Amino acid sequence: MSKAQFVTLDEVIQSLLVEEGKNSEHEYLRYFNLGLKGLKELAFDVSKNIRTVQLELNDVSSVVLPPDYVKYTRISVTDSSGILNTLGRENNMTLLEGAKRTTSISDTLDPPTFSYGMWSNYGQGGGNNVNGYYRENHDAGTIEFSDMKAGTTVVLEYISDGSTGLSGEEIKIHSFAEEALSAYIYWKSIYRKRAINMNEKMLAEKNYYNQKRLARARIQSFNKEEALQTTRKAFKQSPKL
Amino acid sequence: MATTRKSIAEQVLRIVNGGDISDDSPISLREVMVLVDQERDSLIKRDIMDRTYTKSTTTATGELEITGDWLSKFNLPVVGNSYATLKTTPINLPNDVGIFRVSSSDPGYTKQKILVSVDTGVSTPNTTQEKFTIDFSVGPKILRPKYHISFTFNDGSEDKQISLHINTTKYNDSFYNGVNVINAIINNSAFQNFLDLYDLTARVINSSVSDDTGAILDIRGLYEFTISEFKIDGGESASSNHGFTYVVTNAANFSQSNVSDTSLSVTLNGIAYILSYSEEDYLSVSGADVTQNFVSKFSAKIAQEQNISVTNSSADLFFEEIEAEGGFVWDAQGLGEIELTTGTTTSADMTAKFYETRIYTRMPSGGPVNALYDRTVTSSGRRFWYIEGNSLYLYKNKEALSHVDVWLIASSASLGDIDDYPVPADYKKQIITNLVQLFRVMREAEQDMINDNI
Repeated sequence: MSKAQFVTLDEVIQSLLVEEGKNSEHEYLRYFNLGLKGLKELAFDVSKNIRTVQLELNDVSSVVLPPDYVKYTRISVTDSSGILNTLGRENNMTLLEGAKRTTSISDTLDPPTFSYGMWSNYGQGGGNNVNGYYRENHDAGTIEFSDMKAGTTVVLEYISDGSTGLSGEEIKIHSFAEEALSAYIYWKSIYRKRAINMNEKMLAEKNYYNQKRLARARIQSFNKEEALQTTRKAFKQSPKL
Repeated sequence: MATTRKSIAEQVLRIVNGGDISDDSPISLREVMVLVDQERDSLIKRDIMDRTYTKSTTTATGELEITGDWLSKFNLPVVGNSYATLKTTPINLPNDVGIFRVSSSDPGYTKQKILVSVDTGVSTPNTTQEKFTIDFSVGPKILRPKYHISFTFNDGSEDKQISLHINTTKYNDSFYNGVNVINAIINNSAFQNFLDLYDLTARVINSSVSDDTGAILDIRGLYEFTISEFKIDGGESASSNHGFTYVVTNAANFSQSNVSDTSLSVTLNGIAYILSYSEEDYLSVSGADVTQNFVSKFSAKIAQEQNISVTNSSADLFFEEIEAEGGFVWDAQGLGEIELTTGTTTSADMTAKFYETRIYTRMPSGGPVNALYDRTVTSSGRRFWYIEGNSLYLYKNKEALSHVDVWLIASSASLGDIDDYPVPADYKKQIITNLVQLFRVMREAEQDMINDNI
């Protein structure tokens, strides 16, 4: 991993303490606490700390969510070519403990009893998924699956909060968001203090949102080739009439 | 002389008594010493709080800064790897700033030390430089603003075509344009880059042939080289293309008996520190000079990068771990004339491998398990201390630890009469002034001189 791409929370705090003209770390722990909060804020909105894990379905067709999981961005299975095939979301799947989930609720996998022969898919309707279905179970901290066998490996891409389960030097943020995190910690460190005047607090808040905007712009920037690739996605060959 | 409580008190007493202290002085030295303590403590607190919290004053920086001149250091035993008892109560300040720093004490591991002796230094260079000259005698009456200069440079192995576009507009001060064109060449940035690239030097010297009207461009180097096919705007000397007449000479007089490229190379943990004598800008260098040169150039850098101190004594260089960390990998080579003898004075102590000083960070007091901060402590990956009464606790410490070093702003009463008494110089005067003022008020009070036993 490139050393310049990320800075640790520890470095951000030390740099802020120096910036504030403090020559000791007596407020380090308080700042660290604020830093963890700021890290989550930025992980959700700006740095989009996406992690990918492979999880194996257990006997009841579910997987346990990673400790730093906040929200999934894609749940899929890998085919023989190494391409990810996204699963479908099924909000009607029961989450009751012990309830039997049908092995197939997909019309694609298990078509209605009537058959139209070679036209068996006729009238079936869209929105189905041949790969299987999932539903998040927030109470149990799992994702439940149907139409999938135990032992199947699913690929979960999710937004991480950037800190749970990590400690010390492992807690990092993208260099582009370093100033935003520093501005957040400073703002929050004075936010509840009665002795600090409102003007200072408002400036600190404004600075944070400005730094956050800059960080988002930097992180979401793209190069010319990526722009061309995106525009060319619309180009399709078609017969010339 | 170090400042002590006693020395300040004596000074106060002398002023109050108007000279020597007599036995019948109504104020005793002990009494003044107590007041000195109180005055110092109150000054420290006022000073730090003023800096931080006072508004609308020029001294208020809004920073909770503890300057080093108030601090005292104590080495304290740790009981059960858990806590140390402070010998003195620190001054009460927000965020426990009274205790400034806590770290583990040096466990006394043996530090690796090596010796590099420089047996032979460097002799005076006696190289005769290679020389190329171009002697301009005649030039055109009117100088063009731009000329194209080209020549072939051979560095002893291959030919390089050099091409310069010189601008003469800033270099037309001389009446004779041969001189002007040399100045334009020598100040041309591309020509200077060429000199840098090939380690050459150039200068303008007076022409012996045409003393009054011309000048010589003299180029020198510490190796054999030649310059040929020198042309201006594609024309040779005396060409009607440009109107300059010049004589090109490759002196071919390079000679060398001493090695002119000598260096001392010391590699520490894979990073090489090379002291070079290669540009012949030196005279004879003894072994002691070499070691001193090495220390001057690298000791600060090596100390910061490698945790190794570099010192010298005559022709001996010593490399020693600043903090024992299980030793370092090293190699020393003398290249060219320098000859070395190397050896290990003290071997590395493998007990110290992976050791580093443990730094403890302050956390609010919250008992052995701090409900408010416990999770944050775990996430931070740091070690913490907190204070309760005059005990300094190491939060959830399970590591073996015999002593800690503690830097704190000690309350004055806890310092001995003749102990070093940390007071900045300007505050010493303030303490004395305040106390003298206090005693003046005391002396002005009317005394009952009649002892009537009532």
